Amino acid sequence: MEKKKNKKVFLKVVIIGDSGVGKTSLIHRYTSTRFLQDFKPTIGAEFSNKEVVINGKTVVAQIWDTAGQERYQSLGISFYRGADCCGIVFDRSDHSSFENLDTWKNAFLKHGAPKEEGTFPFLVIGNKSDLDDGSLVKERDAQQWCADNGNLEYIETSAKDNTSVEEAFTKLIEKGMEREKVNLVELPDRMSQKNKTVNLQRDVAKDVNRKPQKKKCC
Amino acid sequence: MKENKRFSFGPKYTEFSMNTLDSDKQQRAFEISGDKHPSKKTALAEYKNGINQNVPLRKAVCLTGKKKSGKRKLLSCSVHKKTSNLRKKAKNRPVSPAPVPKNTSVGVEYSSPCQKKENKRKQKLLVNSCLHDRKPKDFNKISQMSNKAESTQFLHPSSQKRSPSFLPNKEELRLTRDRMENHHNFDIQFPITKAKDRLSVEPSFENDTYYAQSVKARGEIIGINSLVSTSTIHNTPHVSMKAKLSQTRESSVGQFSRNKRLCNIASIKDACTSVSSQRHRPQIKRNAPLQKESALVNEVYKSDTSPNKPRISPQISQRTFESGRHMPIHYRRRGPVKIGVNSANSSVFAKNSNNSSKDLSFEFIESDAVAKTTTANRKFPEPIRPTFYSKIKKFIFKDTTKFPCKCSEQDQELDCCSRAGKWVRLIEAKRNQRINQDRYLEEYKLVIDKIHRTEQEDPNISINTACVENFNNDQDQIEKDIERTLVDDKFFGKGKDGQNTLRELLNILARKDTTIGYVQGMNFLAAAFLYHCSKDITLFLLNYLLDDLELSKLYSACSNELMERNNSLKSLIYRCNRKVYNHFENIGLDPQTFALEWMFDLFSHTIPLNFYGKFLDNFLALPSTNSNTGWAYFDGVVVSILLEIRNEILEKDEWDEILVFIKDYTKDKNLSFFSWKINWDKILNQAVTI
Repeated sequence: MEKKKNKKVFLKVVIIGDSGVGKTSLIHRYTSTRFLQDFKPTIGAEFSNKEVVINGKTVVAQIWDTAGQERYQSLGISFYRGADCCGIVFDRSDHSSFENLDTWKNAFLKHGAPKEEGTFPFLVIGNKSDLDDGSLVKERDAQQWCADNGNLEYIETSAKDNTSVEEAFTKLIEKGMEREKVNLVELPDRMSQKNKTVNLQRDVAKDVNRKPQKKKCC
Repeated sequence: MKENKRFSFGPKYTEFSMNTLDSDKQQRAFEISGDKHPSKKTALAEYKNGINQNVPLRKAVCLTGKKKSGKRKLLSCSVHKKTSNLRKKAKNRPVSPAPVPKNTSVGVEYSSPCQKKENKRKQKLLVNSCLHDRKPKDFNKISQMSNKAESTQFLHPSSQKRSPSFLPNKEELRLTRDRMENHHNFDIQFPITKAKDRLSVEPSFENDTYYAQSVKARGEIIGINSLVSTSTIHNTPHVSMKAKLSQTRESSVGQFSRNKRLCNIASIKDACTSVSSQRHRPQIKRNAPLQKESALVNEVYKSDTSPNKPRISPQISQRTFESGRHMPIHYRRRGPVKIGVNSANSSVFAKNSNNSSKDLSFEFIESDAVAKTTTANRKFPEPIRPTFYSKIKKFIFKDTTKFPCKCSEQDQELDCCSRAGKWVRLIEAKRNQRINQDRYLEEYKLVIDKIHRTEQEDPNISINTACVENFNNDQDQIEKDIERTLVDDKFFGKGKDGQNTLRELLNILARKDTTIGYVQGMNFLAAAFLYHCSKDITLFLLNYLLDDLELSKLYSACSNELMERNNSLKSLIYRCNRKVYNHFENIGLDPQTFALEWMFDLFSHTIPLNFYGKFLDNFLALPSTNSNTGWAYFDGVVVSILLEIRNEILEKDEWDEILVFIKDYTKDKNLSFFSWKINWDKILNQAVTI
C-alpha cells in the first residue's frame, strides 16, 4: 500500500462560482456519474475524492465544492489555500453569474494566495448549456473574457446532459499536474513531512495524556 | 426622451418614479413655495400626530419635466388652489399658447443637501395637509349622483375584460367622445359604490381609457388635481405616480384643443368653465381623517379573520377607498372617483400620450404594474422588481394552516401539532409568559406591517444603495434556494402551499435583521419548522432560535461565534473520547470542517424530517441553566455521531478520508427511506446523556 501511495499524485481542485450555477451537480456528475435532480444549496464547503489515471499517472483529485453565497465566502477562504487548480463556474443562462467571474477570480487570487498569480491554472466553465433558449451567454463573449483575463481556457458543459463534464475536469487536473511539475521538488518534502509530523505529534499526544493525570492528583 | 431615471428612496420597495429630463433639476419637482401656506403648522402637527398614532404617512408627488414647462404652476394649482392665473389665461385665450413668464424660478434655492431634504419634507407635508385637511361636504350628494344608472352603463360598456392590446378601441373612443360632449365632462363620474367594488376586483380596462380621456378633456388643471389627489391618497402603498409634462411651453389647453382627435373645443371650453365656476373652499377639519385612518387600520386587522377574503388584500383596497372620502370634494367631482389606480391605466395613458405627443400626460403606475409596462417595452429600460409586499400579499391573508407532520393530532390552543405546542409552551415557560395564539398571529402581522412600512419609508431616512443591493441579492438567493429546499417533499414541492409560505417566511427573516439578511441554512430550518406548525408560530420559534439561542450571531459575518462553537465542540470531544480528539489533533482536523453545515442549518437537512422533531424537542426546550443549553445538546449530537463511528475514524490516517466518511455516513445518498446508515433515534437519545 505504501509503495502505491508514493506514486500517487494529490491534487487539490477548487470549484468556485455563483450560487446555483451548478457546481455541486457538476462535481457530482464527475465523481459519481449521476445527475442529482434533488440538489441542495451547499453550506460551507464539501469535497470528494476521485482517482483518475492521466498520462499513466494515478492522480487523486481532491475536488472542493464551495458554497456560492456571499456569507460563506469568508469561510471558504481557508479552503482556497494550497489549491493546485481552480475552476470558475458560471451559469450560461444567468448573465449576472457571468459578470461575477471577475470577482470570483480576484477573490481566489487574493485569499488563496498562490505563488504564481499570473499563470495560476484557471478553467472557466460555462454550465447549463442544455438550457438553450437563445438567451445563453455566448461563447464569443466568454472567450473574450477569458482572453482578457490572462488567456484562460473556457469550456462549455452541461451537468444534466453530461456534455464535456469529464473533459472539463481532466483539463483541470492536467493543468494542475503541469503546475505540479514545476513544483516537483516539493513533493518528496511533503511525503517526508508526514512522517516527521507523526513523530512530533506523538509527543504532543503524550503531553496531552499527562495533563489530566496531573489534574487528578490535585 | 433622453433618459429615465428611477429613484427609490431607501430600501427598494418604494418607487417614486420620476421622469427626468433634467437630472440636475429634479428637485424642482418638489418646489412649492410652502412658506405662505396657511396650514403649514397644522400640517406639521398632523404629521407628528400621524407618527404618534402609527399611521403611516407616505406619499409623494413627483412632477418632472423640462425647465419652465410649468411644473410648479401646476403643482401650486393643485396644492394651493391658486389656479386663478392659469384659469384666466385659459378662459381668455383657450387656443393660443400662453406665454410662460421668464422668471418663474424657484421660491427656494437648494444650496445644501440638508435643505433639499427639508424642502422635500415640506412639500410632502403640504400636499398631505392639503388633501387631508378638508372634509368633503356633500359626500352623499355625489354618491347619489353617481348612482344614477346612466353613468354606470356607459362606464362599463362591455364586461370588464382586459383587451389584449393596450390601445382603446375606435368605437370606445367615439363613444366616450360623444359622451363627453353630451355630459360636458362634469356630470360624468364613477359611481362610488361601483368604484368600491371594482377596487377589490380586477382592474378594468375600459374605465381606464375613459378616465384617461376625461382627464384630458378637462384640461390640465383638473388633471393635475385629480392626479395629485389620487396619488397621494393615504396608504395607497403601491401607487407610485409619474407625471410627465410636455416639453413645450405652450399652454396645454391650447395644445389640447388642437388635438382634435380626442375631443372638440366645445368640450374643452365646458371643461374650463366648469373649472372656474367651482370655487369653493372646503372646510378644514384637523385630525379627523387621521383618526379615521387609525381606526381603519384596526378595522382592517380585525377584518382579516373574516372568512371571505378578497384576493387583493383588504388592507389596500379598503384603505384606498376609504381615504377617498376625505378627499376634498371638488377633487372628487372632477377626477372621477377612481381611487385605487389600476395597472392598466398606465399603459393606456402612455399610449394616449404618445399619440398626442404635445399633451400633458400623466401616468399612474402601480408598482406591481410597473414591471408589466416595462415588459411592454415602454418608458422603462430596466425591469423593476416587484416589492416584497406585493409578492406576498396574496398569501398573507390566505391561511395555510395545514402542516404535514405526523406527530399526532393538532394542538388544542395553538395552530400547530401537539409537539410544536410543547415547544412553544416550554419557551413561554422560560420567559414566564402564557401562550396565546392570537398574540403570535398579531406579532406576525406586525412584522409584516413593519416591513411593509419600511418599504414605503420616508425618503428622508436613507438612500442606502448598499442596503438595496443586499435586499436584491437576498431575494434572488431566496428564489434560488426555495427551488432546492426539500423539493421531494409533498408539502414543499414545486408550486405547493409549503413553498409559498416558505418564501414568505424567508423574506421576512431576510428583512428582520438587515445586518444578517438571508443566510443559506435558514431555508432548511424554516422548512423544518413549517413541517410542524403554522407560519406565525414558526416565526415565533425561529425568533427564539435566532435571538435567544444566538443563532443570529452565527449567521452574522462579523462575530467569532463560529470559533466559539468550534471550541466548545472540541472540548466536548476531548471530554468524551480522548482518542478521537488526539487523532483529530494529529491529523490537524478541526471539527468545524465537518460540523459547519450542521451548525448553520442545525441538522435540519441532515436529520430526516420525521426524526428532526426529536432533535428540536431537546434543542429548544432542555431545561436551561445558561442560555446555551440548546447548543450543548447540539454538541452532544455531533459527539454521539463521532462516537458511533469512532473505530472507523481511528483507522483512517488522512483527514480527507475521514471527512468523506462522515459525510457519507450522515447523508443518505440514495434518498430512499431505508438507506440511512445512521440510526438517528439512537444518536439523538445518546446525545441527551452526553
